Amino acid sequence: MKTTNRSYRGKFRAALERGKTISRVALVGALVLCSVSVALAQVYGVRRTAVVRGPNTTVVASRTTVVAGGTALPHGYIAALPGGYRAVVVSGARYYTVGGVYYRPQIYGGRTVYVRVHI
Amino acid sequence: MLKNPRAEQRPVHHCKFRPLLFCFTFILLALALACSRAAEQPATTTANNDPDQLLRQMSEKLAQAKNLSFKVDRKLDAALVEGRNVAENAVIEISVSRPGKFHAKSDSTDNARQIFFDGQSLSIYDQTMKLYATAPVVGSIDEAVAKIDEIYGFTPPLAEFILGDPYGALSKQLKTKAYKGTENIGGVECHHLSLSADEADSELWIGTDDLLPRKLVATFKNREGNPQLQAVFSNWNLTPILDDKMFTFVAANDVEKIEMITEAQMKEAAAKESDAPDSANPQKSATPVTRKKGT
Repeated sequence: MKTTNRSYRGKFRAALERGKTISRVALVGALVLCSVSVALAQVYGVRRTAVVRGPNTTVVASRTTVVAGGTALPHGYIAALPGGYRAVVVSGARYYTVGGVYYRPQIYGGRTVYVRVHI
Repeated sequence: MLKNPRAEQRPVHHCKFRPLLFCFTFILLALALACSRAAEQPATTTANNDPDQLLRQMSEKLAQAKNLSFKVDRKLDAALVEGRNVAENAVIEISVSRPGKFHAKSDSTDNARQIFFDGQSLSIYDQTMKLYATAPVVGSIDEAVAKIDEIYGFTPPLAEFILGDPYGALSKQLKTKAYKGTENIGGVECHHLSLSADEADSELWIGTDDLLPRKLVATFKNREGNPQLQAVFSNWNLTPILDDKMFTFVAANDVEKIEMITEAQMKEAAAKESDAPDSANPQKSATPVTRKKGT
């Protein structure tokens, strides 16, 4: 009978081990599946707010969207042409001019932006 | 006193474990009974009130469609509109052919543009200005969306809903999910979910019958004035016949090719601009770039 009890215990331990193994496999599987999904830097097409932190990790400012992508355009770039612009072709490339200032169009953040150039 | 001769033969430890075995068997039977009862319960009473389960079901429904097309009426508050600081109403038509093609056409009051992705390249066409840019982007829709996001700093409108695993993309952002009951949205009975995330709190309405997204209102709580994005989904077709040609941009003669600027290039330009002293950058004072407080 001792043998029978040992056999029960053995079976119970084996079942326990199997359960643990299944749990581990499930956990690893879940982690792998999670890592496959896409982590976007945007929420519904809107750039996440870039939080600027001060020296004591306190939030001192939050950047807001200026163009698609949420980052502020550097000086010299504009998201929309001023009124009254006209298109000109210089050396086969299209530029826009208004008030003596020339702009070259580029696509940034999925939209057209304009960079100021000297011609 | 009569004694059972067989009982004497039984070892003591056997009797000791008998109640334990009985208890174990009883627990197993109780568990089995509980499980069978749970399985017998109609799915509607549990799953339909579980926001996570509803999100999964919506995700599965979208992911299972090899081809799909839908329309979105999107309203963006001014603070979320790129550079213009005016609210934007746009009608967006999206067509998807899994695993590697999509097309999005956006018509707003002052701009019409299209995004083409055919598994090999991404093209942005500014229909209003007759300009386009193309960049090599190879892979599935999920890979393309991730690359576009990383390299070019944007995603197609409401990209979360066209990915292979919308649940994965949405749930990564979410902190809490709550079921708010049913509501009628544009004549369609919908489950109303309230979703909270670091960046935006969202209300999502999912059709009770078709489990498709019907409306989304996202409030960007970290932005000044808590601006909102509102998207109303319609014209769902999970079996559209889509011509492969629609995913590849072919430029007309009067359309000019321009450069597509990467996020890195723009950051570099910004760094140069911030490093340069005002005197060395005569454009700085004259350039009409609008910047908001705190930027």
